[in-house]
Amino acid sequence: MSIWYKLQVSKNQHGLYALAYQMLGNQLEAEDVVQDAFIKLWERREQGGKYEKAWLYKVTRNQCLDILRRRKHAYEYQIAQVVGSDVAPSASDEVINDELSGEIGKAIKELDEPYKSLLVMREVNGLSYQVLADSLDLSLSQTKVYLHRARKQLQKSLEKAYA
Amino acid sequence: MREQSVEQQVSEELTNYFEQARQVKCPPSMKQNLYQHLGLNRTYKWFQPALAFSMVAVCSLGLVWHHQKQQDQLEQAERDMQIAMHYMQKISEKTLEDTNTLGIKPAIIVPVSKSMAQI
Repeated sequence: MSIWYKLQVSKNQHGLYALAYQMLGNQLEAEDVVQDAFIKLWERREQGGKYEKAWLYKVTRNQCLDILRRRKHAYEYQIAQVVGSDVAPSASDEVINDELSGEIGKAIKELDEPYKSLLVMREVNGLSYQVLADSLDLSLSQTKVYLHRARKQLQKSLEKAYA
Repeated sequence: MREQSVEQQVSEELTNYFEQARQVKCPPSMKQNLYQHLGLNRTYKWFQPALAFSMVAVCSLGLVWHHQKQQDQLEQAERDMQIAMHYMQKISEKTLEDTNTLGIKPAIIVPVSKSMAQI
């Protein structure tokens, strides 16, 4: 069993890490997220299943979304704390823990969900449409449509930035 | 024209960006920490049983060698004893007259010295 598990870890660790890093923009957090996903896989190792890959990406993505949600709440809380006071929130507060820089990183970060996840999973991880659909609980046609929209949205925002 | 060049630039930069993103590797510390957390890093390396077997073999060899050495010492002592007995016999065979006639040296000291030399 541990051989099967180690094989899964070796096969998927870099892809999951790339996804988590693109979504969170922070290496340490990405590492934690990937580790948690593999711990969950270990807990369900008896169940097996042929969609391990899709399941791992789904768990990683959900965990990233949780972290992003928590970050947003923390930021909103910070804003609420400083409202009324003379101290204005600094720009760095918003991009706290964010190591991804440049126009493209920023544009990807600003994409809505599930566009961002889909785009990263397709372009960075090179996942098939079927795995993407399984990971995000979408139909195949929905996946293709969303991916097309994600590309368009990214292209548009970058063209605006470069214009 | 300008629109087309911006589009091309964006496309090129996106290609480069995704290419770089694909090169990102998960740090090995993640795997190490994960296996440590799950207790999967207790690897039984091939040399561990070999090492244990070698230890047992060395101990056994040591015991055999020690036993053999003791046996050799016993045999040597037995041989020494036999030689000593042989010369003691010779001494006891000498009569008092021999001792008186030839002196104590050939009668007792010489056989005892020979016995000691043999031992």
